[in-house]
Amino acid sequence: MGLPLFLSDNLFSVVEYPAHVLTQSEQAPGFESWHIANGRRSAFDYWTGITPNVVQTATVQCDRVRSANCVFLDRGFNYPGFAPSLQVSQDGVTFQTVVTPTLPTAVGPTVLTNSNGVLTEEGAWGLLFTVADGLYWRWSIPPLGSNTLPVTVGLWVGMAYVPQSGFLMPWSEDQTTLTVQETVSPLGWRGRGPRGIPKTGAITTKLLTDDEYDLARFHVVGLFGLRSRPAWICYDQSQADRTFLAIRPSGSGQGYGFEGGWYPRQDRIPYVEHEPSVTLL
Amino acid sequence: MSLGPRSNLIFAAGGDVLAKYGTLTRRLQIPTFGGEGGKETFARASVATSQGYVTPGVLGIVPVAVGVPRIDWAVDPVTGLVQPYALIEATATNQARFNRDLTNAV
Repeated sequence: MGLPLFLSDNLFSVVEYPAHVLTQSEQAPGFESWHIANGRRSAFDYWTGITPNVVQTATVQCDRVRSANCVFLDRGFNYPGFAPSLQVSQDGVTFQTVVTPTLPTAVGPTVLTNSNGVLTEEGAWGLLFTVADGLYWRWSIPPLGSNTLPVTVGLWVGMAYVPQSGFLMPWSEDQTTLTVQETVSPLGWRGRGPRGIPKTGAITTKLLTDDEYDLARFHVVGLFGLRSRPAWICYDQSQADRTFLAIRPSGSGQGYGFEGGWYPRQDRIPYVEHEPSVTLL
Repeated sequence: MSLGPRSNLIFAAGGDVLAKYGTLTRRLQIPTFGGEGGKETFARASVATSQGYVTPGVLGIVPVAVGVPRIDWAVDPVTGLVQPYALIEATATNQARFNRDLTNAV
């Protein structure tokens, strides 16, 4: 079993990083580039260009040199089988390629460090790579063919937090809650509308060192907890196809604290899947 | 050796910090909560170069813009692994620009 992973950081978010500047090669009216980092997962909320069959790029200029080691595309992108690239630059002119994965077209139990990344069960895609740094970060999508514009619903590029203790038991990445409107007839027959089945649960972690709290405080307490930003939660990097996007549930308590029997800190982090896909049948 | 409690750490900066935190100086919280109050200030009047990854796994010369800190990727002599270093140099002037002409004429 591999280590877990937690990604909430996103250099492309000008909400998380107000001093960052996001630009793009093209953006269609109503489908501007900021849609890639607004946390919305609707199939109608995405960034696209204007001219088909050309390279399209989204570039963020950071306020300082920043590093990242993880990239995720939300479900709904239309370029599996193609090879986009994540690039960095220290001057905004010359870009170096960090990764050029050929996005997989099939779901499979794959390690998150696979050179082509992992397609998750719901159609998102992610890749954990060797840390790289840059003042500029760019997502570059190759030409997709005549009459085809690239669709990017969500893009996360940032530093992932890997809890060194792993997620402690009880442990289930498949725990769900059924939400549905239902009418029960006098005979007990049930009529139901569309079903939402978000993954719902809690992860338990214990920090191995006091120093690790710096990372936990930024990623889990700050971004996920205090700002309630979505986070990609991967229970096991060797089964990364089960990764999902979650947010902090309403009314939930959270915070790494000192408790008996362990030093330095530990936390139980409740989550609920963010805007899960809906089952119509 | 014990590292002591986290609160004893007053300041940390450099390549190790960049690889761990994502920033050249230690950050304590998200930016909108002032967690990056220890942001570095850096000045350089000219463009420069550093050693970085030009393609995945291949180190080479990378151009760096004016005023941007240089991050050099080099092999750690202890671990044998490539890791980032903050390349810091004091202000200096070339007194002899050409070995053929010590009058330093342009």
